[in-house]
Formats: sequence, structure tokens, C-alpha cells
Amino acid sequence: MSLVALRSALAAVPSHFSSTLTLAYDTACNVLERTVINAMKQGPMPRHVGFVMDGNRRFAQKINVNTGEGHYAGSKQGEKVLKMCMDLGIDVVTVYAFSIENFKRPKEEVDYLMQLFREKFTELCLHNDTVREYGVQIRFLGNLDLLPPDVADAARKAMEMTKNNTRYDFLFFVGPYTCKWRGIGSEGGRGRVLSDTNTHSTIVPHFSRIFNICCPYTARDEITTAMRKIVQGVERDEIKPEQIDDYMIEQHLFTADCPPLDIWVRTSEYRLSDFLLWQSCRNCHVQFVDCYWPEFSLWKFLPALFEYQVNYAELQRNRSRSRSTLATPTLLLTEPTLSDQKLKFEVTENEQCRRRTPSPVPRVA
Amino acid sequence: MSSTALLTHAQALFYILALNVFHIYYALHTATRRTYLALREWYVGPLASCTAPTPDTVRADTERLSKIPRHLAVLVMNEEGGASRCDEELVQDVVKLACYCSAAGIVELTVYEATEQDLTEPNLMIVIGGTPHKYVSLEGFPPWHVRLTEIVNMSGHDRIDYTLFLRSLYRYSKVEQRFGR
Repeated sequence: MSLVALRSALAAVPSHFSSTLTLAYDTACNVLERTVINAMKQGPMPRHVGFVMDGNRRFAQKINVNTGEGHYAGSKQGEKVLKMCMDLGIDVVTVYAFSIENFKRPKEEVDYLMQLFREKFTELCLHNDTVREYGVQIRFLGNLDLLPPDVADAARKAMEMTKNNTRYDFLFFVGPYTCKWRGIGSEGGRGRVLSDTNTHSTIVPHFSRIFNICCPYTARDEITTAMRKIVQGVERDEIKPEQIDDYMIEQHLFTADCPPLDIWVRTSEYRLSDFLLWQSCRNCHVQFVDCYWPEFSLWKFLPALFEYQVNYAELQRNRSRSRSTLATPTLLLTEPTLSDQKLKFEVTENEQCRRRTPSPVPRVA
Repeated sequence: MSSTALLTHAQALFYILALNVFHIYYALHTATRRTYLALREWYVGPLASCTAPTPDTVRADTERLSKIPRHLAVLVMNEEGGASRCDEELVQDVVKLACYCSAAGIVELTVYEATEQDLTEPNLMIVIGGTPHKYVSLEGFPPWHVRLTEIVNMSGHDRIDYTLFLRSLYRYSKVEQRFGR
């Protein structure tokens, strides 16, 4: 909050210097954030992070606006956090947008939220820069039939439009250096590694970035839906009862084809509240951040990342000991259907030419 | 080597250096945190009226709290880097904790290492461990039951003593649950 106060103090300077000052301040903040993000990326990063976007109403009370504006600020913050995570190199981001319990809220608030969802779901797949730049797939986890039909339709359309989004890296070998060009395609491209000896290039499939929006969702509903699917599988003789174990249950959850959850983050409260209960109970760091969701930022997320990096080796060791946390990435099982005309090559400004042998992960005491 | 390649190489080295500096700072912060917490407790003063509580003093300390959990769970985190824990000490602590709970009016106590068949949902969970850190690792505690459990992070403490117990209860009494509303 002190940074926000500083910025508003700069903006309140009554002269034509105020705009230059705020511009300088914003540029300095951006540069610092990019430096920190690039530094953190040199160490191991989590692959799947979950956020509970809690505290919008209390934030609205704090700054004396109505709750609708608090929710709007929360949704804007969700987009900012998605961009931050994609910049950090986190593959999958899962956010808790709406709980089945939230239908108990006052009707005006629920209606406002549904209207917000109606607008946001279409905007995400059509106009959002982060989704386009990183080729993010948008998925909705939860029981969509509980939503009003048009909101559910907007959600299904967003899923349909982004389901083939992907991003893959072309590696060109130039002497001892490997230069990476990033291709963003809308179809296929995932699959086995292809080598082209003429141009000394290789296509490396990249795990697609996924943005999971949990709406409307509770973890208990997810677990019971998984149980129901398994029971139906047993009735159809596809699954034998003795094959049912916790690994099979994990394969039937909504997050079955995502990597295992690494960090679970909640702002402003110290409870799990029915979000990703199964996924967070083993080999996952549960982090409680003491601020409201619209106040969350890279600086508040940094301690969680530090602790993840420090404990990375132990986490990986525990994971390999229990087989149930291996999620087979189904994206790598399809045959590639590369079609040159459909590919668009974009070189992003953060590309660096690196040595082909990977540099060692910095050892931390 | 072209100048741009040199520049990006230098950039990469700078970021690795920056990362190591951040991690050294964070390690120092963690190492001094226990000292800082001890100093703060010495400065603020003891929470409990005495260190060897009797049922009457426990009741006196807790009756002015606005709410008390019905079911308390204690989760002991296993850490490879932390100090090795003695099982006998844990059993002693659990026995003492059971006495404090019965005096305070807490009906049910669950300590994770002992599994129970009919588990109800805990209202409050105290997490203890070795090194002080902000994350909580649930380590397979039954996920279905901790849906609405208030989690108090007491990592950095190896032993459960009366002060820890009372502090967790104070934290719980200030919490407001809306259940989705």
C-alpha cells in the first residue's frame, strides 16, 4: 500500500511535473519487475499455481466504493496476475472465480457477477493480449449447468475457441548457441520432436499454457463428480473395482491433464474453502497472503516463489516416491499436423541466445 | 562473438547473480526470524497467566474468548532439513494438549499422526514444523474434512506448549466465517 500511496502522492503534485513523475515512477516499477521476473526464471519455477481471489468486497469497503466495483477490480487483477504468471513461465494458472456456495449471496450481487462473467468470458478469448501472446487455452472447471444459459454458452464458446491454442519453440543452432524463435499456432503442432538437418532446426513441443477458471466450483463437487464417473466406468465394465485407487481418482478430476499443483495461494483468509482440496493435500505448498485480492502483486507473490525454489528438490523427491502425482500430458500423445501456412512466427523481445548445454540451476544454501 | 550475443550472455549472468542475491537475503531473513519472534514475545509479554496451567487457569484464560473451536486438529509437518523430532516428546505434548482442550471446552482433538476412522471436520488446525516458513504443507491430511478449517501456521515451533495453544485459540476467536455468503 505504501507504493500506491507514493504513486498517488506523485500524481497529486500540482504542476506539469506530475505526469512526468508518475511516468518515471511507472517505468522504474516496470523495469524492476522485469528484472526480478527474469532473475527468478533462472531458478526452478512452479508449473501449476492456484489462486483464490478473495477479499474483493472488503477491499471495496476499505476504499469506500460499492461491492460491484470491488468485483470489477478483482477481475482486472485476475488478468494482471495471469500476465505475471505467464511472464514468470508458469504453465497452468487456476483461479477460483465463483463458488457454488456463492449463489447464496444477495440476488443483485449474483446478477452483477453473472453480467461481469458474460462480458469477461468473451473478452478473454477475443481481446486479451496475454492469451494471444502466450497461446493460452482457457478452460472452465465446474458444473456449467448451474450458470444462467447465456453465461454457460459464453464459457463453452471461449473453451471451444481456445482449445487448440498452443505455442512451440523452434530451435536454430548457430555455432555453439541456440536461438529460440517462438511460433504460435492455432492447430496441432504438438507431438513428437521433428528434426530438419538441412536448416539444423528442431521443433520442440511446449506444454500448452492453460488458464483454468473455476466457475461455479467446489472441490467436494469435483471429487463427487470424479466418483460418479468412476462408478459409471465400473458399470460399463471399463474399470474393475480393484483398479480404483487415489491415482485413478486424480485422473478423473477436472485438472486431470494439468501438471500437479505446486503452489496454492489465498489472499486475506486462512482457510481452504473448498478449492482444489484433493490437489493441494500432498506435495503442494499452501500459501496464505495477508492482503486483499486487488492488492496482490508480484512482491506479495515473491516469498511463495522463494520458498518453492528452496524446497524444490525435496518436493520433486517426494513426488517421485508417490506415483499418483504423475499426470500424463495428453497433449503430447497426438500426431503433429504441421501446416506451414497456418503458422505465424513471432520473435518476442525477451529472446536470448543461450548455449546448447543447459546451465546448471544455481545452488542455494 | 557478436556484440548482441555478448550482451544477452551478460544479461543472463546478471540475472543469475541477482537470483542468488535474493536467495541469500531470504535465507538470512528465515534464519533470523526465530530470534525476531522470540524478541517480540519477550517485549510484548506472556499471553498466558502462568506457564504451568491448571484447569482453573485454563478456564480463566479462555472464557473471555468470543468463540472456541469444537474440534481441534494438530498437524505435525515432516521436514528433512528441520531438527529431528523425538516421538516421546510429541506424545507428552499431545497428552498435555488433551488436558488443556478438555479444560477449555474443546470437544474433539485430532493429531494427524494417529488416524481415525470416523473423522469429523476440524474447526481449527494448528500446523507445527521445524524451520519457520510461510507455506503450509498438508501432507495428506484428509482433504475432504479440511474444507472450512481455519489453518494457523506455527511452523518454527517444534513443541506444542500452552502459549502456542492459547495463541491459536485467540486467532480463531477473531475469525469471521461467511460460508460463501
